[in-house]
Amino acid sequence: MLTQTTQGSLKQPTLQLLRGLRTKSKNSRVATVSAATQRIITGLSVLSGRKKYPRILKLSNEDLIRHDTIQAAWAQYQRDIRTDRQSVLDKQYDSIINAMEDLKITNMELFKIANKKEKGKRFPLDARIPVDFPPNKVWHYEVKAPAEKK
Amino acid sequence: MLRSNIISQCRRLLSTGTTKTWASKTTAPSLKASTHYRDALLDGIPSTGPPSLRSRKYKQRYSSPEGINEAFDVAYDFLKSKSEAAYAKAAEAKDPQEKAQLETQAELHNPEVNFNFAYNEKLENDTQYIDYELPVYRELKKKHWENYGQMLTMQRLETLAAIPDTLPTLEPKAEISLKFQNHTGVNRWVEAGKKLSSNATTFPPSVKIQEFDALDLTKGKYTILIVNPDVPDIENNTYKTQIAWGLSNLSITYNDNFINPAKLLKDEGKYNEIISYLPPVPEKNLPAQRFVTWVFRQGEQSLDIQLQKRDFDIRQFVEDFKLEAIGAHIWRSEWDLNVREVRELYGLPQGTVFAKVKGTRRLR
Amino acid sequence: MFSPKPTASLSVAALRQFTTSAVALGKPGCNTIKPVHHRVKINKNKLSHRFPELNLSKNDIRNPAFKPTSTYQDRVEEHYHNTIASDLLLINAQEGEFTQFGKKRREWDGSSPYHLNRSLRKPQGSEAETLDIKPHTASNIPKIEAIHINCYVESAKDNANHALNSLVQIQQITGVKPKPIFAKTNVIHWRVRAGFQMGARVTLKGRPMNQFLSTLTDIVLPRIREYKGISNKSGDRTGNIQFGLTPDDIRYFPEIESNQDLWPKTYGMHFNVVTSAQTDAEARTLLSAYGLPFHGSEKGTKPENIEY
Repeated sequence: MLTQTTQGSLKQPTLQLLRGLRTKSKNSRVATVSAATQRIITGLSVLSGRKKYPRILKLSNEDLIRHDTIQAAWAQYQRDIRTDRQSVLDKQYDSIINAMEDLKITNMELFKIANKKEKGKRFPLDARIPVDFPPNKVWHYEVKAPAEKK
Repeated sequence: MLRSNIISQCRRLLSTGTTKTWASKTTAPSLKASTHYRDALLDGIPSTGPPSLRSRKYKQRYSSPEGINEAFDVAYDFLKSKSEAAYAKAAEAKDPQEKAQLETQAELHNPEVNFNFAYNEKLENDTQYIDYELPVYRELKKKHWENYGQMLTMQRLETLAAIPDTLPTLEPKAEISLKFQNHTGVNRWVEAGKKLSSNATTFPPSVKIQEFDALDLTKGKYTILIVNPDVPDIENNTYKTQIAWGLSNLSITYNDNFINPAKLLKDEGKYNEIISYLPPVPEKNLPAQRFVTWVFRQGEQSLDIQLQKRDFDIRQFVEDFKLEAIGAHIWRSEWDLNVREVRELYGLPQGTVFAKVKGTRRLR
Repeated sequence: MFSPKPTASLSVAALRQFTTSAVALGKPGCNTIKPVHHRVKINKNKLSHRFPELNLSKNDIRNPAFKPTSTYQDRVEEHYHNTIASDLLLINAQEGEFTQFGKKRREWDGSSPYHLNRSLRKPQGSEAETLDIKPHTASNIPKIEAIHINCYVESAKDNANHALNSLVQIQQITGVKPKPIFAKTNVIHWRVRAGFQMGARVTLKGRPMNQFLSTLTDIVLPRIREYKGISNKSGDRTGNIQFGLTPDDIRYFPEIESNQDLWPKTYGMHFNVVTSAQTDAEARTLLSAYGLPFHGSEKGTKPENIEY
């Protein structure tokens, strides 16, 4: 839809594109939806895949190579961390087994106790995952079960 | 952080050139990006915009992502330290394969190397930008080839039944590119399986053999055979294989590996022509003929055979001379209006005109 | 000079088997798949000139499917590597361990001619095969691999909007796009017809999974009154633990709680925590490290030996 406007210059009217403008239909042929349906439509629009992907960055050749270099360094850094972590665990495992073998030679009784399968082992509930903003009250300790119905 | 920011900004403004240098042990020019891009690549995009953009409008409009300069500086130093470690290991390595592998590792994340490889012509072997003597460029090219060229060639060889009609199989080790540099003025690399006009194929093709493995190329020699397995054999009511061209005892290097008339003229007397070139002159109303170019490593042995007859058993030949196939290429030829001229040029007799066969199904 | 020798080429072809065919195995029959004569894997998408940017790797910034992942600190993952992993190693490692072979399907003894070509016998004392249990080393420390969330909404058979709402609900609390689930068969008693959309499901992995776990253990579970914990009887014997939350429990998720008026109805869901633990007992130990409480008696463990 094209319309003429005289804004800016009275003598020379300019053309302005109005295609993108939202217009309300006069004869209300557009069906109106109930509030509940509208809520679902709004909710489903959250699922749209398009909204989850950021816009593609257009990088110049130099910046693309710079970006790739950063990516390569990050990947290498993560790889180093992984190998270090695994080597530490391997060493720990070796020391566990060595200690157990020593214990086996020294005291068989203690070895049997130490080498028993720890089934039903639980980490204490108070040991929480570190977070940036821990809750003020972690657990409701004083809760009592309601009286049973008779 | 802020201070280093200011310092790097100042350096960018003064534009005295970057102070960053990779841990490279050689001074090969291809390990450095050209001066036009180098500062922007290593120190960040200057206020005038990226040098790789041509238009002034886009240069002014361009802005780098936030924080890329600081992240790059950290990443560069980190990767450089890794590179130094790899070079130190390479200096002690005895095995040439291992050494090449370590040197590749040391240069693989060098931004200048990656820039040179990404934005320069990869088949022209301009050592200013891409030097295949350096193992890192061979590795990059190998990855690039495996991602497209190798798959394309193998797909065409398979669908056109070049394997197993000529040789039973192929384990590609080198990239084979082919081009007809001649009077037609069409100076393009031939895509495997393309139908070429007989005018374009009047004179022998130029073949590029790009090796990737760490080899001693001063000793190894190469053989090229071009065979046509679709020559009609009227007496036996079948097709037979003929050899269209054969070269042996070719020596190449990683960069000087384009077997074209200029190189053949230069190496006159060093190589052996097994049989002279017979251009494709297909008969009328026959299906397209396949011309399969095979490239072999012949090792240190010398292959001084010269053939008189065109009829050829390539499998027997390969077995007799212990040739190791490393790559192949294929083009097709069909009768066209130029065939008569080509026949006249080479003094060949007039071709047969076969009866037209309806349908496109190939008769075997 | 070079006489044709068809046998030479045949022998080469016979040496190399590019496709496994029944003939090659000495069985009657023919292969209908056209043989391939080389070993190069061909990716047809890469040979196409359409959509070249889609052929780039997924972590290439030019690919439209590129999604930045490491955009925040993952404290749950860090906690696992800093604390949990080495503790679990110490708990599980034993001296002199050997692979304990699971129950496998057995051969028939061949006493009847009908045993020929019959499928193998059931394992002894079990309906299904059980997995081998390998020695516990530093390379197989249990780890949470995924959380499957499944939300079946019964009322969706009458009102399809409930299925859509459950989809949005899962999206809200996990931040990952869920998939709808459909009834597979007609169930007359439930008035369910095949093809009805009956709810939603999602598989969480990596960062969204860790985020969800910390929300669950820090915010949701502590606020459920009278919450006893996950049953110690839960588990599928291969190291995966299942539990559920009721529609009222779901209201404690902060995303739902802050928009109470948007959620007049919430939907309960089932969780299946997939771990790389070899037994359920090890999986429970692992989950307890994330702050998930357990209750009840555990099979094979004396009540006094369960630590809470």
